[in-house]
Amino acid sequence: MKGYDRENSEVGTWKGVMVFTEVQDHERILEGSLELLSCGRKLAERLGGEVSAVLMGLDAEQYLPEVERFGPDKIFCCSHRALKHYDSQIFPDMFTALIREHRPSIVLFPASEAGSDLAPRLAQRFSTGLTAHCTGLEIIDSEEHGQGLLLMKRPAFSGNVTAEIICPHARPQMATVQPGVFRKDEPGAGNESRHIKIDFNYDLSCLRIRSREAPLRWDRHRVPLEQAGVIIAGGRGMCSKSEFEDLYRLSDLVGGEVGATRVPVFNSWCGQERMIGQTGKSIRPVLYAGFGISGQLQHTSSILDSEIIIAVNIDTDAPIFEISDYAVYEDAPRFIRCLIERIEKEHPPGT
Amino acid sequence: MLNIAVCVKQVPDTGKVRIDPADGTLVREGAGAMMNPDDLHAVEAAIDLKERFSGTVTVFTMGPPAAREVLIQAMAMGADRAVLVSDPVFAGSDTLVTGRILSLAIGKTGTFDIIITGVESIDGNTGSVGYQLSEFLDMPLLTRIHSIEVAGKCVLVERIYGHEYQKIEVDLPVLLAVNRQTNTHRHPGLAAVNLAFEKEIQVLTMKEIGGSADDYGIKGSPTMVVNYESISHKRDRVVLSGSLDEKVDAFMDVIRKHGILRY
Repeated sequence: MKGYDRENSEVGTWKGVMVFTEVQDHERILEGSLELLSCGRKLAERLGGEVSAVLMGLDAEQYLPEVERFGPDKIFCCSHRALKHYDSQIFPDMFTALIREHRPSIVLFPASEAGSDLAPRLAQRFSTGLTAHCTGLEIIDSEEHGQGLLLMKRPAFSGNVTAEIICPHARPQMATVQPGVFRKDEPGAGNESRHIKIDFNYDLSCLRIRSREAPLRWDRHRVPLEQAGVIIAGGRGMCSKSEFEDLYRLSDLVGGEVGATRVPVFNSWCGQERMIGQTGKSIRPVLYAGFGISGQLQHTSSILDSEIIIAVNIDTDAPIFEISDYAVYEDAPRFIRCLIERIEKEHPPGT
Repeated sequence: MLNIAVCVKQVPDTGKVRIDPADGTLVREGAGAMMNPDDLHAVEAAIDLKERFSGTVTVFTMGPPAAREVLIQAMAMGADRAVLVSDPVFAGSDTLVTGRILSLAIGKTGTFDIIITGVESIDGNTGSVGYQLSEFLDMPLLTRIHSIEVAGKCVLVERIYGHEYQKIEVDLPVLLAVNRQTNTHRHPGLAAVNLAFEKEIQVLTMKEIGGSADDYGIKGSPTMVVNYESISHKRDRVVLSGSLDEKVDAFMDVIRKHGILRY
């Protein structure tokens, strides 16, 4: 099995940025994809070449106006019933054909479940590099490795370290990107993308996964922590379910969302959808307030983009204080009761 | 009789890895070594299938000689055979090359019905190797598994996929990626560990799997790390002090200052 093609002259013939514009569950374009279209524009401005969006789904045409607002030069659009949900055979095969024909220098994917399946498969097929869960992308010129290379930054060693990675010789350069890393940006009126229709002619009989029963809808209760401007989070120091539930009262008063570390989830004080500290879920609120949270790395590495971090914990040595703007050494449930009382007094409900 | 393979990785304790400030390289010495947590669940899944449906479990690891430790641990948990895939030229391989090496090693060792890996390693954190193995081996990859049964030449699996809870059927061979949401893993006793130490470990080098030095390691990897940065996330840690009421006052001042609870 041969390694990738090290021919440097080849590299120059790959141009442009391709973005996997994922349709989530026949409902909407994934926010992360729109962010990547904006990111792709900036990369293409720097490098030259076009931005193309790859849109595959059921009745995919309905999403064309929205995708167009984010300024891709081209939108490859394929519409078919079989594309309603991401499939590990169909999507890679169709995307492979697009990459082969159009030879983008860079391909970007949101680090969603689908993107995280699609990207490594494509990277293997092209014997090229993939950097997963990127938290930064920029173009660099390197004397040693070449001009106009994509520099991909990602956390490694469980978030203790940032690794900076390049893919100097193989193409395309591929990256999956965490949601929220880049901002959506509509370039304004006057953008017209070329719509290129892709025919669906996949032989569905070669699909290897057979359904035995109609699937059940598995609706994780959606809590948009990634989009929350204020997060009120609780940990072990909240002591009990009823004390943890005070966080919801506080959160309502300040217009926030409630988050949790592992302990409340494992103790069934709240559902798993509230847990901050899973892979891929990072938050960037204006205010993060952590109550009774000691600050284990798995949690804290996900809150570092918060503008302001306030921690309340009786333990003055809690690691969370190292990364806090403000520290309150106090018993968290007690502090919250007093805080709620004060807020309700000064902002009575109904005013 | 099922032929089951498991791929495991020895990883450092990621909290203890440091960056050498002189040149931005990783200092792994003193960081300890353990089996990647997801891989413990992979071994458990393999042993569980062996116990329920009868078969043999072969555990593979790609790593330096010290990685024998994770093979011994897997054998103590119940794996029958162990293969260490090790060669100095493999060092520094990225996920693509790792997948390639593992798939060649698996191919050289036997024909397997079920191959199991962990979802993600705590040092690389890419979660990509399972998907790339799926491509190299041309086998479907199943994740987020709730239950698995073997029925003749196929598996019956219940899993979560996107927003659905599915019951599916897939012909063997298949690849599975598991983690702590899949099962609870056993902890072998000292006697089992001692017995495992006695067992032979087969070693595969580049000579056995084929290819040349240019195909592997840093040279053969399309991605390269140009820098590591240790991140300091220290902030000011301004202490809000005084009585409980004073602390609450100060807290409210802070949040008002940042646009929350304004009049």
